[in-house]
Formats: sequence, C-alpha cells, structure tokens
Amino acid sequence: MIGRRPRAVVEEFDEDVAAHLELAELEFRQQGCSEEEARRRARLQFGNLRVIRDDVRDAAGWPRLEALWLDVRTAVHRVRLDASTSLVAGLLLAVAVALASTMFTVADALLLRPAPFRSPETLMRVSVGPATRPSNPNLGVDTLRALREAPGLEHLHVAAQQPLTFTDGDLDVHVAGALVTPEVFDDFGVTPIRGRTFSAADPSTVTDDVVVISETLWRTRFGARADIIGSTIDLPGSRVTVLGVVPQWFVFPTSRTQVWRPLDLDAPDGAATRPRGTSWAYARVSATVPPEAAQAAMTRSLVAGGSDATTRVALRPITTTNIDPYSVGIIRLTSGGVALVFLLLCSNAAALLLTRMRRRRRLMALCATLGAPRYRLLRQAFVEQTVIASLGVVCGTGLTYALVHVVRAWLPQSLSFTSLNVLDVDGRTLAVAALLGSGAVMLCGMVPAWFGRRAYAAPQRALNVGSDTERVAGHAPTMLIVAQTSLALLLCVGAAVQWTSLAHLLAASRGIDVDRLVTFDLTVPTDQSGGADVVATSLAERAATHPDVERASTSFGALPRAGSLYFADVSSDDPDRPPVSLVINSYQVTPDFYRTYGIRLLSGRVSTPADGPDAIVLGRSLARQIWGREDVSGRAFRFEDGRTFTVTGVAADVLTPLLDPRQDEPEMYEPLPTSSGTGPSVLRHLTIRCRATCPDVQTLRRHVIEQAPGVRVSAGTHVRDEYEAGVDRPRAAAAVAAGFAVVGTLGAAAGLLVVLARAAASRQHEFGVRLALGATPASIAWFVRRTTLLMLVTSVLVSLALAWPLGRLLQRVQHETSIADPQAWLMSVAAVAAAAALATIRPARQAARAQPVTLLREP
Amino acid sequence: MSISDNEVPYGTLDLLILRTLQTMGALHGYGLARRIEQVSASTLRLSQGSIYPALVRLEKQGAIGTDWGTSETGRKVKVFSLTDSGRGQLERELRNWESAKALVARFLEAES
Repeated sequence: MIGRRPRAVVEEFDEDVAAHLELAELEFRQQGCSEEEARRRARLQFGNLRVIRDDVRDAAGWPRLEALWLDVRTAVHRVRLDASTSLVAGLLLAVAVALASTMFTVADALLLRPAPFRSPETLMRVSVGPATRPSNPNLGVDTLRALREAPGLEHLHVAAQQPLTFTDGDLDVHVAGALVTPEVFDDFGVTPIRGRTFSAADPSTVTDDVVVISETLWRTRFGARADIIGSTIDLPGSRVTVLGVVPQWFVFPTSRTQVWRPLDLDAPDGAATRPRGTSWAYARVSATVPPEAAQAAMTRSLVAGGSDATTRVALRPITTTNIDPYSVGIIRLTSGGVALVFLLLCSNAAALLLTRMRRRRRLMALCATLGAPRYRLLRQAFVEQTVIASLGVVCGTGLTYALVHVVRAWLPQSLSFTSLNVLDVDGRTLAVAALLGSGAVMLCGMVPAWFGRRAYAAPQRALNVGSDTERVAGHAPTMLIVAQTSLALLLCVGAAVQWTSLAHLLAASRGIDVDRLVTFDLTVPTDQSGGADVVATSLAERAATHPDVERASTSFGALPRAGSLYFADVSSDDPDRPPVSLVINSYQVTPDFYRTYGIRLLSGRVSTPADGPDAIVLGRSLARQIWGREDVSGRAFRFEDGRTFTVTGVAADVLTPLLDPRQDEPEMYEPLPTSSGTGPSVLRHLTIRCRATCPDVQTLRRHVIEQAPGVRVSAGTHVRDEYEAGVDRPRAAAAVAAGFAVVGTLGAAAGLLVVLARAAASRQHEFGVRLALGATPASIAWFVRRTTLLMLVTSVLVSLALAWPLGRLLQRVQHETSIADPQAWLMSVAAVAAAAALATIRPARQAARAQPVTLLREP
Repeated sequence: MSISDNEVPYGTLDLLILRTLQTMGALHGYGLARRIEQVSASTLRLSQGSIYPALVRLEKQGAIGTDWGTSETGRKVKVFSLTDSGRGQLERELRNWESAKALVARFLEAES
C-alpha cells in the first residue's frame, strides 16, 4: 500500500463500493424491499459517497504534501495571472542583485581582497624617500642591494618592468614582461601548470635565456601547445627558452605582465638579468617581526649602505599601494551609489508586490472567514513571493556574470593595470545580495497576508476598508516612493555633476596642440653605424620628407608619457630657499621637439647637445616651485644625489587635466644623449606633426620603417587619443553615474505608477460621486496629478537636505564644478519630473474616463 | 472523515475494525460494516461507507492486508485481514483502552 498512488486506491475503492452496494441491495431485497427501495436504502446506509471518496483519497495520499503542492500551483497561477507585475518585480530584483554583486566584485578585487599570494599579510611593497615623504617605489640597484641585507626579512623580491617584443611569424608581438628575483614564484605560492619556474637552488633556471610565460599568453599566442616547454621565442638580439607556464590568476607586478625573466641584482652592468633602470621591491617580512620593526631595520640598512641619513623606508600592504586616491574615491562612491540603487530597486519591487497583495486583502479575509487556516494564507503568500524572488535571483545571477564580463573588458586600464587580483564573480556577494533582495521582496509580500490572516479573528472588520492597520499600511508605499524619488533626484544630480566635470576635463587646455600628432616607439639597435641616437635623429629628418608630414622629432619620452620620473629633493642655487620634494616628468629631447609639439618657449633658449647633458629647459610651474619665479635662465639646481642642472630656458607648462591638479607633475627637458648606452638596443620615441590631416597610421609607419630598415617601429598612436585615455576614469565614472541615474529614475517612475494606480483605485467611489455631482473628467485627473506633484515637491526638499553630505563625497572626484551647480539641479528636477509626469498619464486618464454609474455600482 | 452522530469516539473505529478482523478473520468491507453493526446491536449509527477511509489508513500503516476475492453476488471484492503488525497494534490499543476505562471508572468512583 505504501507508495501507491491515491488515484489507484480510489479506483479500487470505487470497485469496492460497487460490490458493497450490491451486497446491501441483495440483503434489502431479501428483506422484502423492491429493487428500487433496496437500492435507495443501500445508498442511504452507505453514506455520502462523494465525501467518503474524498476521505479515502486523503487517507491514501499525503495531505500535507498535497496541500503544499496545491499552494504552489495556486501561487504559480496567481503569478501568471498578474504576469506583468511579477515580471517587473523579478527584473527589478535581478538588476539590483546584479549591480550589487558586480560592484562588490570590483571593489573586492581592487580594494579589499588581499593579493592572491601565500600569506599576503606579510608581503609589503617597499618605497623610499625623505622622512616627510618616503613614497618613491622606483628603486635603483644599489638601494636594493642595501635593503636586502636588512634583518627581519625572509625575502626581498624585486620586479622590474621590461616590455618585450617577439616575432610571431611576420608580426611583432609586444607584451608586458618583467624581470623578477627567482624566489618570487615559490614564495608567492605559485605552482606552474606546465614545466617549472625559477629557483635560486637550480642555476639552470636563472640564466638569461629562459623565460616563464603566463597561461593567457600560452593559450592566446601559442595555441595551448602541449610542447611549449623547451620551445624557443625570438627576442630582439636573443633567443630564449620557455621554462614553464604559470596559471592565469598570477598577475605580478602588474595585471598586464605575461612574460617573466630571472633578475639578478649582482649581475654585471649590461647583463640581461640585471635591471636597467629602477625596480619595485616587495619585502616578505618574518611573521614574528612587526612591520614597523622591519621598516626601521631596512632604514638602518639603507643608511648604512650609503644613503642620506634622512632617508626612510616605508612598507605598505601589497593590496592598496597601487591604487591612487582618486580611484579609491571613485570606487567607494560608486559602491555607495550601487548600495542606494540596490535599496531603491528592492524597495520598488517590494512596493509593487505589497500593492498587489493588498489588492487581495478582501479575498484573503474571505478565505479566513470561510475557514482557511492562517498558516495556509501565509504559506500561499510565501510561495508566491518565493517564485518571484527565485525568478529575480536566477536572472540576477546570469546578469552578474555578464556585467562582470563587461566590466573586465571596459574597466579603465589605469585601474585594472594596478590590480593583482583577477576580476571574477564573488559567490559570497552574490549570495548576500540575493538573500537581502529576496528577503525584502518576500517580506513585503507577506505583510498583507499577515494582516489578512488577522481577519480570522475579526472577519467583519477585515472586510471593511479604513481600519487603523489598513491606513498605516497604506502610507508605506507612498513613503517608499518619496524616498525613491529623492534618491533618483540625487543620483541625477550626481551624474550631472560628473558629466559637467568630465566636460571641463576634456575642454581644459593641455598647453600643446594635440591634433595631427602621431607617436611611434622605436627600438634602435646600439650597433647601428654612428650610434643609436644618431640613427634615431636622422630618422626624424627622413620621416619628415613624407608629403603629409610637417615636421618630426626624436626623444626619449613622448607626451603625455614621460621618459623618466624623478622623485627628488631639489635644492636651488638660492641659499635662502629650502629644498623642495618634487616628482618631475623628464623628457630627453632634440631641439626641434618643442616646435613639433607646439610648446612655447617663455624665456631663454632650448638646450643643445653642445651645452652638455645637464643643460635643461624647465616647465614654468617647475621653475616657480624651485625659485618662486619664472625668470630663471642661467640658474642652477641640484638633486640630493648631487646631480646638478643648469637652466637654459623656461617653457610653457604641458597640462594633463586631472581632477587633482597636484598629481599633474611638472616637466623638465634634457638633451637627448648622443651615446648609445649599454645593451643591445635603446628605446626612443618618434613624434610626427602632420600637415592638414594625418594619413593612416599604418601608412606613416611603413614610411618610417622604409627610412631605417634596422629599427623596429611600434604600431603608432595619436597623441590626442593618449590624452583622452587619461580621462578614462572620469569618463567611466560619469558613465556609471549616468547609468545609476537612469536606473534610479526609471525605478522611481515605475514605483510612482503603481502607487498612483492604487491611489486612484482606492478613490474610485469618491470619483464616482464627484462625477455624478458634476465634476469634470479634467478635475478628476487633476486629483491624480496633484498627488504626483506633492510627492515630487517632497522629494526635492528631501534631496536638498541630503545634497550637502553628497557634495562633500563628490568634492574629491569633480573638476571645476560642485554639487551646488544650479544647472545640474534644474536638469535633474526636469528629468525626474518628466518621468513622474509620464507615470501619471495612465492613472489620470483611467480615473478621468471612469463612468460614475459603473464606479458607484462596484462594491 | 465522516463519523455518525452517535458517535464512534475518534480513533476507536480502528480498534473496532482490528478487533472484528481478529475475531471473524478475513472479511470484505460490507461484511465488516455489518458485523460492527450487529455487535453494537444497532446502537452505534455508523454510515457503512465511513469504514473505508479507516481501512485505507490501516492498510497504509500495515496493520491489515488486502487481497481480492469474490463476493456472494460473484463480483470482485477486496478482502481485508489482520497482519502480525495489526495484531500488535490491536493489543496496544486494547491496553490503552483498558487503561482509559479504568481511569474514568476510578474518577467516577471517587467523585461519587
């Protein structure tokens, strides 16, 4: 019997009943009854067949499970009956979950999550500098050698960026590479997926002809070949062997690094394993040594190694060092915006469901009156909300993965470059967002059911409108909508401020004419006849022979990318002026550099190679910072390491419009050296100013290659594009803010539509009476619009009150604008008012078109 | 579940069915209902059909077994019989009934 389907049991019961009735009829006939009388008595004696059959079915089945299944079917049926509301509520929840999960995934990867290395809490980024600002992360070989002797360190890892170009068929492939000390992979806990990595214990793995590549490069460039280990890669002037492949989650020292070569601080100058310029250092501090003690020990080692006594070492946790304050501010603000939008969308979904369930309060009261137990009402409401919440969570999960994929592709490089964590969906965030959103939705759906079940005790009261509980519950959606509209207004104002800021950034003067300028990176072999720089300089002359080229120049460093960055304490030749700690963009240039870029010389003259390597041109703001004035031709200054410069002239500043003007470093221009330097090649930049319009960059590149066949030429970029890339973060922030504003406004409008429809429906009788007494449809429509107007005015007042704290938050991420911008407010109020007006159209029209007779006839 | 106005106290119908099957052996539904009527001397007004939900319940519990037989009129009919588990359940219910009866008797005696 156990496990038999109730239907089969009922079918057997029917057979039994037939036999039972037959026997009863036989007995009555034997007692003398007629056939008809016997049949009647038999059935009377048996009882109510229908009720008994139901009892048999209940006894054979699982009543609780069947009741639950019935509730589920009823809930699904109700969801389908009001599909539009269910769909809108589910989609609102989906968008809320997706936005919150995506934003936290980004914030977690960039700000919160420690680096994915072994014991990240003991891994510190090292920077050095004067006691007031030990912030220079770019360290020379001598400094690194001194630091590694400090007690309390398990390891001092060093990484030097090294762009690489290798040949893939007839294509030059440019990848970001790095020299790293051999212990990096073992100490960071990186297990190769193919082959092996560097090891200080195995000399064969730390030679200059081996490399480790990333899984991404292995898959995209080498087709995930199984025989990658031991294969060779052709670099300029050398050939290297692939030692191993590391997993794609390992990104170090930047997110773009894909090839690693071993670094040896003790290698002779010019060796491939010795860093040519500066490097970054990462200290693995012993677990038993506090970071402060390790920091002090490293400072002592540095000073003992010959550094100035005022030099200090600073250790910072590896996660947050690379993110600049502007990006941190933007991420935090965006996270706050997402949290508000999450609340708005969830409250909107909740308001929709609250209104829908309240429309059924009379039905629920009726069910309670007829005997439906309270738990059945609550269970049905619970199942109904669960169906909608599940729809939202499932769609939200899919949307999250899509959004993270989009963010991964569109995140400004200046942010993704600095992240050591891969951007992947965070399951915990998804679960929390789904739980919170679903909880809000289900709670609002359960409230009317809870009030409805109270009709069990007082059905006559629940069947009347206007009870105290009803009035309190009735104001909830209205208050929610006012809150949502205020939030939407604030989001619009914030977005308007961001766009205004971006417009100011784009329109700001750059100090040079960025149009018709194209830059190429040149890799010039040092074994060229006459020397690499002679070749590079003559290349500029030959490149200018193109009919579309006005002039060209060679340099090390091409605006806006500096050739070198100096972190220095600068002392002028004025004894009354104290030294100044500065970060300086340095360019090594030929005399025609200034004309090519259109940089105006304000005083003095340009420096030439005949003036010597220390005769320079200063930017105006740098001259002011060192001497307090601009007329400084012929003056001299020096760095703390003793290097002295003589100023031959002062040029106009080159500006990179940034939100924080303090981050726009001043410039100095040194003469391009005539020596070739060590190593097989040198990096130089060729800048071309075109005539009326620039030909296609590929055409220009071919022309340049033809002028110097032995020189490798990069793809080329327009200088204007590089400047615009510099505002990619403010542009992204403005786009995100605009997206939030749109979502917020649409969400508020949707919620307003629901509330107005409910308000209009609840006043139908009143409208019917008014129409019957002579009111015009226009005046009825005005009642509805008046509700909108009152809510809008209230929202504006609430927004104004909240504008001040928002303004303080936005202050750090806006350029030449503020939260008090009247234009931003006007536009935002207009946008929200327009959305509210659109939401009012339908309810007002429906109320105005109602027939008094119909309205008054309805209960 | 339909129970006549006179009423079989809730839960005792199972006891009556099990006891009848123990005494009479295997019976079909009509025979069971008629036997219960006869033993109660018609003082218990029980709609005959009301034993069928109880029979389904007892069969689900494993207290009774079923088989198909033929009625006096030649129609296929389900025949119910007591299982070993049913015998055990009957003994337990009899003990419970005796305990309840003794308790009520003591109470009435004390009150009088």
